Amino acid sequence: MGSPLKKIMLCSSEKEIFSVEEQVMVQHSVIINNMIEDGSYNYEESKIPLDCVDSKTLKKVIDYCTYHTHHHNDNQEDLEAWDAQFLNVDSNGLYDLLMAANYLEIRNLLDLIYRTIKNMIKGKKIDEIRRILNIKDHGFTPEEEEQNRKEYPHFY
Amino acid sequence: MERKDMGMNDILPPELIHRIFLRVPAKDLFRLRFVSKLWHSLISDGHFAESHYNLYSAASSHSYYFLVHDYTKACFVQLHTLFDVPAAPTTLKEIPLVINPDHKVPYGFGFDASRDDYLVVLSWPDNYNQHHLDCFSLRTNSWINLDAALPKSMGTWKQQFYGLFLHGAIHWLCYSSQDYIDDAILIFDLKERSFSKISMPKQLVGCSPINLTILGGCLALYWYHDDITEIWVMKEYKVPSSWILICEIPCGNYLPLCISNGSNIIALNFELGPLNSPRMFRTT
Repeated sequence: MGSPLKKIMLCSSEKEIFSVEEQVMVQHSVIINNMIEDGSYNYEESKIPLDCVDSKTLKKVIDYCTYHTHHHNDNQEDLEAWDAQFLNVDSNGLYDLLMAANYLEIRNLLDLIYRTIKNMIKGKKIDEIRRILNIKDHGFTPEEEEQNRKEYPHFY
Repeated sequence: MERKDMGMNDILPPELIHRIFLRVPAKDLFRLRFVSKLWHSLISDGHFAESHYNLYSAASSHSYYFLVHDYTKACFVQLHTLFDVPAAPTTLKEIPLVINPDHKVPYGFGFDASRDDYLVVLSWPDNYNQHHLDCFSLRTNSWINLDAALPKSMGTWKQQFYGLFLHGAIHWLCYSSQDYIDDAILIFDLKERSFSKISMPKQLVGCSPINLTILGGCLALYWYHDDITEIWVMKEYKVPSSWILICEIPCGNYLPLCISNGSNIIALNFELGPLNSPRMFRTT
């Protein structure tokens, strides 16, 4: 566990640099925790390159980790309300967050996103799921799609 | 591709979509196969079915109820759909029985994760009183011929005819021979399609009436004698030395229903009739 005053640098795909309290990232990201622990991070020179995470997404990820570091004693209800507000983004924004959380191995954020997407799918009809999850090309041929709709009309 | 033209399947790699599906209840998965071709192939994958099943069965071992009606046809219901309030109609399927026995036959129902198939298993005695097993596959909707022969010494079932499904196998309690030396739990593994057996605690060999059940994900036996119900649990599956007596309920013939909080047994008294309601007993 690093000292709370130390800062580390994260670099987004647009090469924008974000300076974050080390403790915040170490507590949440398995990858960054490992880098700090094995000494491969140099506080004077290193910037952790996150080539697959854009600035907008990285900022959100840092917000999440910061909030959960400083509010982990809050009651469950307040935290859930904050999480719900935090994930109030469009579906592609949600996927970017999922990719980033997966890359950085932020387990509680991953769980939160998986749960959110699961709830978006649960009990919904197919046309609705395609719209909500932004599935542009379903990949079925027109004949297959017609056949499926005919066979299971109540699914659509 | 322009960013604004991208959708879920363009942004997320299949392994992340796969992990979302692992969290979706089985009854939603069938419908989700028609959302897109990619989803169809991910959900139809045999390995997916196996990992999904393992994840969910860890949470509940009693997913299915199997019913036999007047021994001419059988059906099953998915147990969790009974408790899910906005549930889809309960899955109910009738299966024609090829045998028409004059008396009760041992049966069981379980899931073979390796083939993603549900199997109904029935046992019937031939003219020489040797038991044979027949399997009905819900995937192929047909009876499967099994060569697996029952161990010779295990031909007689105790009073309980329904087999219990746990860890991919069906379990029955059997008398083995007249001198009771070999009383044991008979196991039929649905993946290997083969038999094996587990010894009972020696204290219970030859005892009657004795019943098999599942408590807290473990095989369990309960025995009523001298107005006491003894409950034994096999803590580690297939390890006979792990049998322990976890509870002795005084004053009554009880049916253990489940373990609550890992340390209390909820049980129902057989004899109280209309006054019957479950009671809680502390384990030792």
